[in-house]
Amino acid sequence: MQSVRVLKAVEDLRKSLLAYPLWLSLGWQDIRQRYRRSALGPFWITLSLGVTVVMMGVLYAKLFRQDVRSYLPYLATGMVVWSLISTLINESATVFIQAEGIIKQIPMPFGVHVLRMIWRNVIILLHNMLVALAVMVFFGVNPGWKIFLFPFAILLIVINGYWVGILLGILGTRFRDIVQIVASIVQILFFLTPVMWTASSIRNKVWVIEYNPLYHVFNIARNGLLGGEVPVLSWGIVLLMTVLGWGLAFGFLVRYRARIAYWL
Amino acid sequence: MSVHIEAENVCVDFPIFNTPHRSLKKNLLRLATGGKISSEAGKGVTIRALDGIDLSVREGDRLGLTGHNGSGKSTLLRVLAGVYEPTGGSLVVRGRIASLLDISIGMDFEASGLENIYFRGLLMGLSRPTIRSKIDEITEFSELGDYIEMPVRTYSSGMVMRLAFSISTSVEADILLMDEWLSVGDSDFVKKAEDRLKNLIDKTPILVMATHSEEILKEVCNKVVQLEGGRLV
Repeated sequence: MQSVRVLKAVEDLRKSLLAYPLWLSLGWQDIRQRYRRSALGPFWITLSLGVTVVMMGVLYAKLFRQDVRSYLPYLATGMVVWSLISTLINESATVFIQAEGIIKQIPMPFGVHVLRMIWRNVIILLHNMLVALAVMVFFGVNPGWKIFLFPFAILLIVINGYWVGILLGILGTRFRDIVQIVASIVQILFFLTPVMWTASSIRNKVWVIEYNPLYHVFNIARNGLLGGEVPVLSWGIVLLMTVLGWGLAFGFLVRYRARIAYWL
Repeated sequence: MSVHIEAENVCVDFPIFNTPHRSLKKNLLRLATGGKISSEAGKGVTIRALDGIDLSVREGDRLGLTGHNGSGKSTLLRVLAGVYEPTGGSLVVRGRIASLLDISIGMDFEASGLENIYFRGLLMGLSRPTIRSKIDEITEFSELGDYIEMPVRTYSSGMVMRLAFSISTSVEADILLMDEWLSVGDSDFVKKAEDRLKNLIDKTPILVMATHSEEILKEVCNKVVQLEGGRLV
């Protein structure tokens, strides 16, 4: 019985990946649906983030007494990564609830719904990247060869997004409060993670920073865009998080995969 | 391996979550309080939608499911489709399944008819090249003409159904699942649609259809089972 369940979970993940024409198209459809009939289309994503970054950048550079030339690129890259991570986590909790119509009518591997959500957010990231790149070019930031590390950092974030999607998706379907809880936690994480502020600006190292896995995720992603020394420890921690998270989420998938349709 | 469906003692229990059950807070509080009443409540309420279903469907069978509302017809169809895995018993389904349970699922009303053919096709498990090869035939059958390039929201409801019907019935499979006989469009189209559906059924090794209509049962099905309260009678 248990081995059948494990096998079915593995099959689910394998078939989900193979169904890429489906989730690629569904993810695109989500974006297009959101921006259909608007003149700028998905570039509204770029524009709204651009405005936010410039306004916040100028204001907070003054507040934190920082040089705009170094602070704005720091904030822009941080916001781009944050908007990816925060929507990935938030939408994870409703990933199966959103797909209720399809799940109840057409049998398909559950991973498809998570991959659709991830792909949709990767498309948004690509639009947001324009802001980060524009700021980097404007202020002459040159990360050097480390730019080649950036895609790997994003890949790791996405792979982590997959297990978060499975785990929170299952929990959120069973316990509808999870959606609200996750939203509050993400809100708090925004302030605990060096998105707007720099870790170096805090004189005494605070444990919340170093034990916050997102701190390390930001380290590896920012390093790819802003350059500097490669944060080997952060890469290690994020890799470890990926392995542990997948272990946990896989366990959930094995145990509860067949229940998802019943909980909807 | 030939196409077949083999169900043995299949049971399906739906958990019924009232609000207290769905909430994590309530579950945590229950941990803290304990006591007899709460542990009673902890078991939750389930509804047995299907109870000990034994079914054997072979190639050439046209199985009709009858029964009152809520007797489990639709649930059984969804179990056969693979949406719900049985909570008890064993079920073996061999063959590619095409489900005509809800033919308009996945329709995007802002997208054009043409795009919707792709969406729906992908949802039904077709590859892009296969869909491309079917586009002309689907467009022609639906009689939408140039409207196929227009957003579906500009269609009349009859046109939407014609498109949905044309797409769904263009897929060939080994097992066809239907909830009620599909009938769409105005009188001319109804006749055309009926021929197409019959044609599709003729090509399909197994049909399982839920219906209330005696007429259709007589005309289409060669086997009939009746469900009552989730049991076969």
